[in-house]
Parts: sequence; C-alpha cells; structure tokens
Amino acid sequence: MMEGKERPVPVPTSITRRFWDSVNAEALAIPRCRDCGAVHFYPHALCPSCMSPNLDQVPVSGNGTIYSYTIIRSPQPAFKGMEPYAVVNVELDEGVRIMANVRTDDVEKVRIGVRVKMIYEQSTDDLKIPQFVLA
Amino acid sequence: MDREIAIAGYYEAPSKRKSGRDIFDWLSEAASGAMRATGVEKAEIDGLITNAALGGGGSPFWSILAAEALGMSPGWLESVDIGGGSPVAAIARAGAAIKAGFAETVLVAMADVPTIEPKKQVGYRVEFEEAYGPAGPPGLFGLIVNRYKHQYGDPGEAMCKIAMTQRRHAELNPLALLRTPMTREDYYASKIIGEGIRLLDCVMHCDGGLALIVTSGKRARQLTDKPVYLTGYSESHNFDAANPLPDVTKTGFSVSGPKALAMAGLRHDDVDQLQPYDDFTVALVLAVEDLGFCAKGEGPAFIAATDLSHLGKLPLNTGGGQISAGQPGLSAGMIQPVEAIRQLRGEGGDRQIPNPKNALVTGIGYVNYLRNWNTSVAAVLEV
Repeated sequence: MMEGKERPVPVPTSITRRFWDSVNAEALAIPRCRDCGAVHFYPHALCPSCMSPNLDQVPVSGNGTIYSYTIIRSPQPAFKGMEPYAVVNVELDEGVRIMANVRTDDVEKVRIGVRVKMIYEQSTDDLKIPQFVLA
Repeated sequence: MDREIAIAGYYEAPSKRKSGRDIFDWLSEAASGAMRATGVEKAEIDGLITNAALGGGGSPFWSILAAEALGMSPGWLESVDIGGGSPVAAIARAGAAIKAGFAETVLVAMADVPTIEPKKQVGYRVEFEEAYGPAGPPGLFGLIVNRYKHQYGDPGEAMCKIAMTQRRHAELNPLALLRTPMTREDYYASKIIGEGIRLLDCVMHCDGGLALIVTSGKRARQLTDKPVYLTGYSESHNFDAANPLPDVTKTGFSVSGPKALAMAGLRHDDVDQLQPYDDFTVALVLAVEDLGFCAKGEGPAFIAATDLSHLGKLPLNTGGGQISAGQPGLSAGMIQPVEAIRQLRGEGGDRQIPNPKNALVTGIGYVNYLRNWNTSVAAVLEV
C-alpha cells in the first residue's frame, strides 16, 4: 500500500517504455501477440496467453465501457482533498481492461455500463497518463 | 491423504498496534511459545519455515535472518512469499519436507510488523495502479464488490452479517483486538472508504507473531494426545491469468477448494468449521461460493440462511477472524489455522465449537491488476 504524501508517478521500465511512449504521443497502444493474436494489458515481456516474446503494439480508439468502479471517499494521504473521486476498471472496445480515474464533477454518473472516452493527463513534465471522461 | 503430516501444538502472541517491537522480537516470542507449548527442544527442530513480511525490512535473506535470530541451525530452511496465503502454505510445505525425509520436526514461525514500517510496493502497481489513488486494497476490493453487485445483487447484507458474526466471536476471544459489540447500525454507520467497502469491512493492521510445530504423525502422537492432521491441501495461483477480460467475481478457490476437500474425502456438509482468510468481508462471500458451499451468486442467500456462530451449522472464523482480531501483516494468515487447531483440540474457551472433527482453512494472497486475489490456498485439518 502506498503511504507517502507525494502522488505516485509511473516509472517506465524496459518492458513498458514503448507503451508510455505511445501515451506521451497521445496515441495509446496496447500489446498484441504477433503469434497468437491475443491482446493484453498492462504490458508484459511475454504474451500471457502463449508466452511468445513476439509482441506488437496496436493503437486503441480510446472508447470503452465501465466494467466496474469505486468512488474513493477516504483516500490515502497523497490524494487527500480530491475526494470523492472515481477509480474505474474500463473495458476498452479493443478487448482489454485498464484502471484509471473518470474526470467528472458528478461521480454519481460513474456506473457500470456507462460509456467513457480516454483523455491524456499530464502527470509530470515529461509523462502523461491515460484517464477517462464520460462519453 | 494419510495422517502423516501433523501439528503438535501452537502459540499465538497477543497482537498490538504500533508495538515498537522488532520483527525478530515477535518471531522469537512466537517460536519459543510454540516450543514451550509442545515441549519440543531446540535440538530436535531440524526445519524452519517463515513468511516474507510487509514490515521489518523485507530482506531477500529473510529465512536466513530468521534462523540467525533464533540461534538455530536447521537442516531445511524456507521463506514463503505468497502473501496472506503464506502461513497455511508453510504448513503444507513443512509437511512435504517431512514426507520427503528432509526434516522431521519443523518450526513454522510467522511474524510481521506492518504498523511500524510499511514496505513500499514494487512492480507494476506503481506504474498502473497507484497513480490513480485506489486507496490500496479497500479500493481494489471496492471494484470487485460493485461488479458483484451488478452481476448478482447487493452483497451488503451478507457482508454486514459476516462482520457482526465475527465481532461476536471476537468478544469471546481474549486475544482479539476489536471486542466492542457491533450492531447492524454500527456497521451501516461506519465510514465508506471507497464505494462498496466500509471501514468495518476491512482488516486493521497490527504487529504480531504466531507459530506451530509440524512433524510426522508418529512423532506428534508422542508429543501430544491431541495431534491435528493436515488431510487435504491445494493451491491455486494467478487464477485466469491469461484472460484479458476475466470475471472478477470468480476466484482460484473454485480450483483449490474442491481439490482440498476431495483429498480429505469430505463433502461440504461434513465441514465442522470454516476458517477462511478474511481481509475484507466480501472475500468470504466469494469464498463460500467458489469453495462450493453454494452456487455462484448465491453466497449472500447462503450466508443469510446459515447459522455461522460457533454453535451454528457452519461456524465461521470463531476467533473473530482477522477483521476483528487484527491483521498482523503477512503473518495474519496463521490466525485461521491456529484457531482451527485450537477448536479441534477443544481449547476454544467460551467460543468452543461442540466437538469438531475437522476444519476447512484458507489463505489469500495479493490482489492482481483488475482481477481478483492472486493466491487461493485451501487446507483441511482433522483430528
């Protein structure tokens, strides 16, 4: 569990650098196996389905549906003052799920089955992160 | 499974929040307590197994440091790092080592001090979860609760009953940290951490240590007139790992639960006590379904219809579980087997189950990215 006062920032690794590059270019792409065709998320070094290292990245539309959600009302220290805010599990139309927030003034509208659209949010000077707004 | 893996005795240190005590202080108390309880001498212990801990440093040389802290020179040494599933898994690993002839008398000693020194997470969580502020496990479980509600209906009443049942049991357990009676009103008045999860659905971290002695059936019968046997065991890890669109309400207990019961030759109706790992109340709703006590989606109805008290049809976490007893970090998974053993030996005090012959005990470890928990350990203990 994250306990610090600073909001955590993703630090790309040798596995995920390519993904974060796509986010920074505002063209988020998900890993797809060149051998078996399976897509997955978050990025692994091997295809979780067939263990092939032969992975490609395919761009996504940014459209998705809320698979599940929670509204955080008692956040950890780094997120104090932002509550209530929505943490969602979004199912992208391309067949993977991704965790993010839905940026909205009305968290009551964040419900399962609701359509959302990806946006890009500046996390640090040189890193963006994917987020969502209600479609 | 034969009666060749046995537990000769146990010790549970009284847990404490922000104890200020070093992790090896807790480990030492747990280890010496189990040795005193069984009369096993240091020279007889030829195996030692412990758990990777949240607090205390998280050294990659963990079991070595544990042996050194205890002044032991074991012939078999291991640390288990499958989260909250580690303690139950450690009993099985000790048993496997005994059956293989690598050791005969294994000290299974667990401790953790998460309230002193929380360990920073490593791996994908920092990159793909923490930037979104899910508030740790309560938020991750909130995502599971709300999906469950969508597919099967609101499990809230069942979660309330679980919280209240376990608190009632904690009232009868002098070692439990949370013993104030809890009403339905108290439950519904407790603050929402993330939608779907209230404070009284969650465990509270504390510092603590628990230990037991695992040995051969033959040696256990020499040491005690109340040996407890491991008669069924199964693990499932990273359930449905390759599925990019998994059903997050389904867990690895659907694999390991039926296997453990079949190994012991027990049917669900035969189970005298259920001591399931309880980090969150909803985990028990999912567990009763996936272990096979009822069909998927019928957990709330099953819980509503079943007397879960220590005198009921299916006594549930009779010591209060981790939620009311306190969760000593990653050693907390030992609370369930220790309570089961205590009951099987007739040492349950005011909360004693009438004459139990067996227990189904579980362990849970970690929560995977947008799925469910990673590790589902199920064990059957019998007298």
